[in-house]
Amino acid sequence: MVATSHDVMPDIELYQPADEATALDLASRLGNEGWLLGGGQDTYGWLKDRNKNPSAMIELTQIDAWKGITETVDGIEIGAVTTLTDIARDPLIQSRFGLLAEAAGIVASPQIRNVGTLGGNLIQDTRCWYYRRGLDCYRAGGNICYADSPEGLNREHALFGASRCVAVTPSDTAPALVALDATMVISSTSGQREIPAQDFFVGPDRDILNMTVLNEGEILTAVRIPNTWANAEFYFEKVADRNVWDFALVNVAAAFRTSGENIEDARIVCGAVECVPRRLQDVEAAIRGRSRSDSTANAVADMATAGARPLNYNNFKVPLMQNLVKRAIRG
Amino acid sequence: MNPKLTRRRFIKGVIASGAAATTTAAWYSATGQERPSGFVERLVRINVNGQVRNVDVEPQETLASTLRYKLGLTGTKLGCNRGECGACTVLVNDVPTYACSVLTHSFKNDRIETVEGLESANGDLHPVQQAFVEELAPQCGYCTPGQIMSAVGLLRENANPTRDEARHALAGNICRCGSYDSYLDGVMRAVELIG
Amino acid sequence: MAYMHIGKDFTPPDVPGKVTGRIKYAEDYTREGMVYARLLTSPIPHARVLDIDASEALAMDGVFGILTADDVYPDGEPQSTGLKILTNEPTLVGEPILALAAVDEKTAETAIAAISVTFERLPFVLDPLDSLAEGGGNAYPGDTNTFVFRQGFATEKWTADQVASFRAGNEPTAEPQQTVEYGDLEAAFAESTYVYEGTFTNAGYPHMSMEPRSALAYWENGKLYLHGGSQSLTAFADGIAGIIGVPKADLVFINEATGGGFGQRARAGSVPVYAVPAKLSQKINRPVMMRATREEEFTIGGARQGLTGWIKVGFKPDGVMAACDLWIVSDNGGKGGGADAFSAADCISVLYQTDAVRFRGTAIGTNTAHRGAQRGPGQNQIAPIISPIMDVAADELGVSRFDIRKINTPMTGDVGGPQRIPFTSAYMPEALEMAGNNLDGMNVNHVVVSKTAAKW
Repeated sequence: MVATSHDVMPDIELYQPADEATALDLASRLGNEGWLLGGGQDTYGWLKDRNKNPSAMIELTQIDAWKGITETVDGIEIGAVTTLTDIARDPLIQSRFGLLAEAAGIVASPQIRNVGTLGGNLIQDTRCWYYRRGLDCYRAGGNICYADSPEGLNREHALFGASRCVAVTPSDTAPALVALDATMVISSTSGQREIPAQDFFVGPDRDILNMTVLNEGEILTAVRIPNTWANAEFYFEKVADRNVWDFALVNVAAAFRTSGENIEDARIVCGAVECVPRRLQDVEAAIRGRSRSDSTANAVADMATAGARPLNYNNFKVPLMQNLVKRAIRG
Repeated sequence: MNPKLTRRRFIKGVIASGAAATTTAAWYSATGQERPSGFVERLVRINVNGQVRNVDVEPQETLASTLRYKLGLTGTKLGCNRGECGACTVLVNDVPTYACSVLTHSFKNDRIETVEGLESANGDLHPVQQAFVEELAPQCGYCTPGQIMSAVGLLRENANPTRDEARHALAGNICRCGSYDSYLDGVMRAVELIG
Repeated sequence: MAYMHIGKDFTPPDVPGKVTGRIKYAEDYTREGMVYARLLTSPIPHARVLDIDASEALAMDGVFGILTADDVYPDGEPQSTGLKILTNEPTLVGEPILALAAVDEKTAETAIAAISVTFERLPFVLDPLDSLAEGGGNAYPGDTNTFVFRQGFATEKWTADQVASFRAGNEPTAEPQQTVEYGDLEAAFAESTYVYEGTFTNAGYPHMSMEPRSALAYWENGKLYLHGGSQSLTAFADGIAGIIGVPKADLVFINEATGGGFGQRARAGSVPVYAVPAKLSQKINRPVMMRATREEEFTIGGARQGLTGWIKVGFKPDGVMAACDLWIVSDNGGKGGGADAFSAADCISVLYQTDAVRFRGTAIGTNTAHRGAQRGPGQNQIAPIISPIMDVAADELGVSRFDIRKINTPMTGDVGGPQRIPFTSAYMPEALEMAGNNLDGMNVNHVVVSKTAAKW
């Protein structure tokens, strides 16, 4: 047993396909040995640490077809390798789906947003430090969870949906896209399939090794946002230890349709409290027909965290999540 | 002298490190193997500070590594090598980028600028550099090149930023001395110098 | 009289180089034939190295050699506080075991992964109170857990009940290693109308200057040329020459710029790792560059001591701090050394002009990060402890939170610390007044504290 502090990139091959067919072919041929490379901001750490050891990187950012923001008949389509900065600054997204612009604009740091892609932000791996350290935990194929042990440090871990693993989704854009009823476009050599954002993410009870439904050889190529929630009233807030770089302790993405004083329909989704973005459907139902007010917010606060099972060090996430949901409802 | 260190051994080491120029294409032709489509060539031309440079770049090589160790541009610092400090910030097509967390091969058709490329041909400091001198913004100076590149990136995009906009633009650059306010003073003075 | 700088604007000579990137830090130098070193560090908090098999690594192309503790200390490792350059008995995770030089960093990392080290695991401890308790593990070699000035390593134990009582929030009853006192504590508490008593714990965090502790070393004509960062060439050169074992006359220490000092680069003992490329270069006869990683900065970068303490503070009716009784168990990490806890007491004496102060302290090792000098030693750890106590006292006594600080602040002519050293100039009241004026519009007397947080 030896240890060293790795911080340089190891030997690994690099493919830079210029068109979709070549990329899909490479993804299919290389399978798990081929690491899909977007902006790389959740790649190089894994590789430098040598805790993930694929034999090749397949860079997707040279493929123009998977880049950019286009208006469609019933909404917009965003290429998966569009940068977070481009999304945050896009006039169409800002005007119609400000929720996503705000979420994309608060990820990590300016330089990371400048190269980090939407696809990368959605399929990035969890931040559980035991897992990141390369320990043999459940998520890494082992048979223990270090975070949920008597002395485990789990301040940033799950309130809901734990199943052996207590890691949470780190994404800021994922809750926004679930709230906007977005659809994920997944391509492979055998064709294309579309999955609602809500079903794209999977918890450890279903698949403890992966956080999305993506199979070997599949590439997330685009995200479609229907006009269902276009120009709705939006609320996004992220609470983290640091304003820059940091991942959310809890974030909330919400959309409201109101008629007069009353909420007709709503979407409220929290990140960093479960392995998947947590949509609060009970709360959404309970606030229909009520106003966006303190009294409505207070009435559903407990409901927002019903069923939470805090770990040793993350009790604070319960009031934090309640307060964020209340702030979202109050507007 | 280590008896193991024969000349042959040293040369082998140099080749293994990639310091000697070989291309992937040559390797495939030499070994008679079919070259997969999309595979990168190692010998590349990159545009750094307005000059096109021929460099032998390994597939996994970060831009910071190429700049510092292949091109001798050591103004780009490695503070963490993890995209978490900003000391390696350079501009790629005017956009601030962590050189430690991108691959050189991704930027074969792009304009890369480092702190060494900011001075004018006659040696005048860039207005941001001049302003940082006037505000005595640097303390230990290790984060300064990165702060400057973020500031230059901002001013190219927004010639008249508010202090708050400057604060956000420089948010991805850590300073352990705590010179943040002085750096912002520098950015605001640079706005005046540019006029 | 004409001054060169006073009263004039001038540009310090280092500034232009810092904005152009031309000024050189240690890692910006290069040397013909230079090779790159990486460390193999301990993955275990306390262990003994039984065997190192580097044959596979040494046979790899581009690998030039390794340096182990046996190379550095042929007559056995020194028993002292502070990091050894390399060791066969690591007392913290991340302590350097050996260094390997290769043609580039990638090759060095790959080669290190091929080295097989056999460790014997030894008992370890992460909390000084666990070590203090009878039967608890000991962090240091030879089953010791503390370092006594002029005596060396020793073992300090409390009864299980004494540790449990302290953990429960009570004043420790064990004998302290150190006691410093002035004034009549009993009388001062008798004068107090509000007495706060409680316990606290804080963590010891490492430095994280922007420049890692990288160094380049090469030997020419019997002289060692060493590039590194320091806070003072003169204070540093002697120490590093001693650590390396080279006569000072044969050391050329080159240091154009330093990417952050903050105490960690004041003395060579805080950055002994500079000696690794020097020794490795001597062994393989090549210039050796060793760039420290950010992760290594966490383990060998010199953290503050963590303090676990009991504090009792008495205030007179007008808000004057009459007495402070402070008992601190310091977490001295895997290597020992440091006196932050006393400085914490000294800080209270100076800042709040306490009539009577008693400090009692015991320093215990744990198998955690190396501890070292960091600016504001002790003062920084105690500030977040004492400041809320001032607020609580102000509220209890009906004095404003602003005034209680102004009342207690030192002024020119006041004295501080156990030696009652006078201040020749102190303008804290004026500074507070100015701060108060700048906070115009904010009610400085009634800072709202969230009560909801306490629920959780």
